[in-house]
Amino acid sequence: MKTRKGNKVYPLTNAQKLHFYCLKYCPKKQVLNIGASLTIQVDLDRELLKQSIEEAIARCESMRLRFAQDKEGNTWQYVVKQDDSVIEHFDFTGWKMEDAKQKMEEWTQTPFARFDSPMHHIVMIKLPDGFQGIYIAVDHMTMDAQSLIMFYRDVIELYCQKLYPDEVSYPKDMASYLKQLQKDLAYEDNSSTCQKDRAFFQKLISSSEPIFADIYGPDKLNAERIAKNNPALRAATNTSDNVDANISTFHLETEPSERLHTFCQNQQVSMVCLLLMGLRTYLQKENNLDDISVTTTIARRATLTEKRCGGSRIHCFPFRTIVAKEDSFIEGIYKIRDMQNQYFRHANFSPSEYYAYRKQCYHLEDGQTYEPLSLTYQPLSMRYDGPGLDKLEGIKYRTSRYSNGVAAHTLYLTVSENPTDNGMDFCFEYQTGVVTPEKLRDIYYYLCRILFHGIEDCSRSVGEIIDWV
Amino acid sequence: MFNELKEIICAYVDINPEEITEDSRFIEDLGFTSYDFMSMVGELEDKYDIEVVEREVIQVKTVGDAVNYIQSLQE
Repeated sequence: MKTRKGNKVYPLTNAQKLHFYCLKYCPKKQVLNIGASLTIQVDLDRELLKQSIEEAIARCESMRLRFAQDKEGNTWQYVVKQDDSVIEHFDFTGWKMEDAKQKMEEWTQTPFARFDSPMHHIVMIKLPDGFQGIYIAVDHMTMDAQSLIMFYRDVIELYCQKLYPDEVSYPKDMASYLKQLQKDLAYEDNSSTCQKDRAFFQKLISSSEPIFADIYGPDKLNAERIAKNNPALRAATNTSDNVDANISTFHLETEPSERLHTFCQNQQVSMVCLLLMGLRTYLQKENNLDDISVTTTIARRATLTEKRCGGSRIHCFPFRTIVAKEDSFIEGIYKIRDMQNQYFRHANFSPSEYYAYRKQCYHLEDGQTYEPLSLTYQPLSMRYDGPGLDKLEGIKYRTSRYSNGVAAHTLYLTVSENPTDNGMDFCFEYQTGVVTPEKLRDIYYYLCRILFHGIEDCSRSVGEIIDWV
Repeated sequence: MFNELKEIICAYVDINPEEITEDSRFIEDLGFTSYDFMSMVGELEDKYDIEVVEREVIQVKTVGDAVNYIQSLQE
């Protein structure tokens, strides 16, 4: 297939293929839906907001992305020049807040038509408490959290510019999704850099076999060893036929969040390194294992073009560290940092190829893995002090995520900055048939105890921290 | 090389090239994240046909450090 409806078509990228395979094997087709809202405590000019949204879509090629399937069943992507989606308005005045939330969850749980169809659904909303703004649902093959935040910011900037045309300059152009796509596809076409990245990961994977360390402790692995009659088994099946999911969010207030940030600044380590250290120490405690693997995500937005081109660029890789109980908290963080820096240099490699190689290397069966959960840190906030936003100074922001009701994997933890109070949100998306809300409270409780005991005196040993919590 | 590096830096952060000095620190002054920095290191490896050592590259804090380090790998 070369063109579709007069538009040139392109293959899917490695990042899109990650989601594509998830969609292919998941029984519920809304699994890739991301639903979120941004509302502010101000009366919005609805017509200006609608124009701003339409203009933001015109400026963002990936919001005009479509998919097509050829006769052989292969999926391709293309960008339409004009998006004719209708921007609706929904007034929740008189509703209960929980009913409004449920309605937006219903929108999020509606699968998109896959081919030759818009992959977003946008509604201007007025909530029962008077907050007004935008609800957006997008497909994860077209956008990710960072590009969605950039889209929201573009809408805000365009709105402010329309509202105060003499005081606010027109926002900078977004970067071209198609130009970046061509660059990505050139890398993926077995470029020399791709070959170097492949060599790095194949060496890493084959160096030694990881081991599964569950959030519930060793029972799952032990059960699999008995079931497979293999006492040396190191991987466990961590998938469920029941993909029903929910989201639980825990909020960390301003002051403790600031303490975490200050620690990272003083020690010159990233927040994700600190969070990984906390999470892996929790799993180490639950399983009595020094060898811990979790899945991490890399946003892959370094250049200015990558930051502003939209699209879905996230890559997920298993991240394994071995931290002895005798090691100090900060030594553990440095191990994580050093490993993370290596991953960053090779992050464009195909995650699907990574998993395929590992499966072959260790003769894994379908569904067997070494990682009990996935961690994402999202530092980008929808609140920022960009052009025109001084006009909205002091206005209360609220951001919300809505569950699509489905999770392909057992547990995802997304930690993000909360614009309302500069605190942090710990958002767990979990399969309800496997993980309980009580377990999530447990994880969050111990994660915080580990983090704060660790940052209080980072020369404390991991063993000391585990014994204390 | 300093001028070449300035041009590369400007592809990662929104800054005027004139504001970049050899003493500019990547993270504190130029606003790089650790991913931005390592991604740029990858680009520099390709451009200058060098291979960095992890424990050495994390000691690179300023633009001047980067110039010196690249040159030392080229020798």
